[in-house]
Amino acid sequence: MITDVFNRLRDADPAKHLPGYDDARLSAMAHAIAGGDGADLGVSPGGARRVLPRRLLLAVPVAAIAAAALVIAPALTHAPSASAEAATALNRAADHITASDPSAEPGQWWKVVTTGFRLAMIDTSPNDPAARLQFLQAYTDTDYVSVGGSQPTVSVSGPTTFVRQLAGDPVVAADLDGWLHADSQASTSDLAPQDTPGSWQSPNPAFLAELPRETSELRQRLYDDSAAGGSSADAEAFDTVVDILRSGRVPADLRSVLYRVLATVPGVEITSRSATVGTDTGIAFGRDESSDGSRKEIVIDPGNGNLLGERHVATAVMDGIPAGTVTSQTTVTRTLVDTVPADVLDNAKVWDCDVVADGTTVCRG
Amino acid sequence: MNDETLRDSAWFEALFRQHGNRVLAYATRRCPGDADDVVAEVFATAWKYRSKVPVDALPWLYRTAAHQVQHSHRGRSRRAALASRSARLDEPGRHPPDVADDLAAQMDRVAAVARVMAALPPPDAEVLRLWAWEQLSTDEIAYVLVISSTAARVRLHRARRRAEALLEGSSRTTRLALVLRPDMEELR
Repeated sequence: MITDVFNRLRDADPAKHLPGYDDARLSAMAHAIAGGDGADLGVSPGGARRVLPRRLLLAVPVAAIAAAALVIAPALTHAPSASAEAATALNRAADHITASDPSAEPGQWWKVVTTGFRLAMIDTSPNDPAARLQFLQAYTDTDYVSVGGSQPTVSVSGPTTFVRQLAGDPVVAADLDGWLHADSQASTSDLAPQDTPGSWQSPNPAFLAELPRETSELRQRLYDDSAAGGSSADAEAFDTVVDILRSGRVPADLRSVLYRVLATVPGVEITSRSATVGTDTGIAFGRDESSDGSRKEIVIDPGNGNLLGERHVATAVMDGIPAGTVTSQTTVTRTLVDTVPADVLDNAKVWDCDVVADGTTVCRG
Repeated sequence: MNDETLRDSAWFEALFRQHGNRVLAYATRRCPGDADDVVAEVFATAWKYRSKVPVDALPWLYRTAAHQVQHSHRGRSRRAALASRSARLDEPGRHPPDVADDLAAQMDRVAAVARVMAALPPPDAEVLRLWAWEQLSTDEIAYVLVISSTAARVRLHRARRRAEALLEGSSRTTRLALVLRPDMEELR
């Protein structure tokens, strides 16, 4: 039984999947400390808490940032950027992207599976926030996207299931009626991706192909396209990058440049060195918008630059949900298939869609 | 290694490379928000007092880290390791099957241990962390906690028994007070 206790503790080790610092960073930190001498860092003989050495840690990657700046267009060298630490890690992730895109034929389909959990809320008494039931709901959504963009996308919304309650009085089954569905629901439309303008939120092959692969140009395009959003320009830029990465359709070369662009977005920071999405752990990059009490993060495997997923974290107590709680997470898989399953097509509800004057797509059931 | 002339920057770099991530893990387990700061503080202290760092440096680094963690002004943030089946782009064959099963199971395991650690007296919880997470011997635990080896053995024994009892109880009571339909029962 003692062994069982040991194993259960090991299983729950918060640092089990901690990526840690790489050798270059360890050496750089050692040089920064030894070069400056502890006395200069404010380390007192008594060992009492002194000046936080975060400055030291942020100073370490300066050389790396300087090197990165050489490969970024001159226009960017004067732009504000993410924290030095985050910028270094993002540029490193961009360098390390090893995944290549599978060879796809226009007649094939991308099967994009988005899975994870999200926060669901039920207001049992609209005037009493404390009565709000909040729980995590697991879901799996699947999109079949025509590789060439010539066939309408087919979407399957899978069953949703209760995972765990986060706040409110104990949920009973009756509360969940109408919130969870046990069946898959398929839908499609009469418009193919190539018939729509394409966007950061719903990219089609043409849109992805014409996005710049040069960092400063892509950054400019990003800020131009995401301007006039609800929050700050930098927040909109960050959210827009997350949107397109979440689509699961971004090719490796563009993903690499998007990471480099994120490294230039002010306010982007490493929010966790051991963020777990799914069963994988990587570095989380986030950007706090203090107004809404939550932070959106993307999680990247620092070793190979793979995007592991996305998650939302409460940054303040929200109706009984403690700060620090992960309120949603998403992982995306993309695979190539030759056909859309017949039963999916047969049962798909077809929406009648049109692209209206401002470029948005409007559908009627 | 008592010869201070050997305690040069090359020695320090080797020390940092050998133990930096162990100290980072130690700090991450106790004060994730301040982990980077703790690492920098610990090694700045090690450099300043390099003549006093034992050859077997890791317990000394942990003891120094314990001091830094104690003074960490930020509270510990809870990390819920919320797991679903993982997926990565461009890796055919990795299909995310039933997400809820693994998710709920992993959450339960982590949450149960977190509750047990929170329920234990802090000295017991810390001795368990050093035992299971840092994987120190009782002598090393004694050194880090600045207690006798006998006291470390007694404390570890007591903490194991208490944790065992709490985990036992936890596994019976972690289920939410829910009335679920049969098709949802398995997802708890």
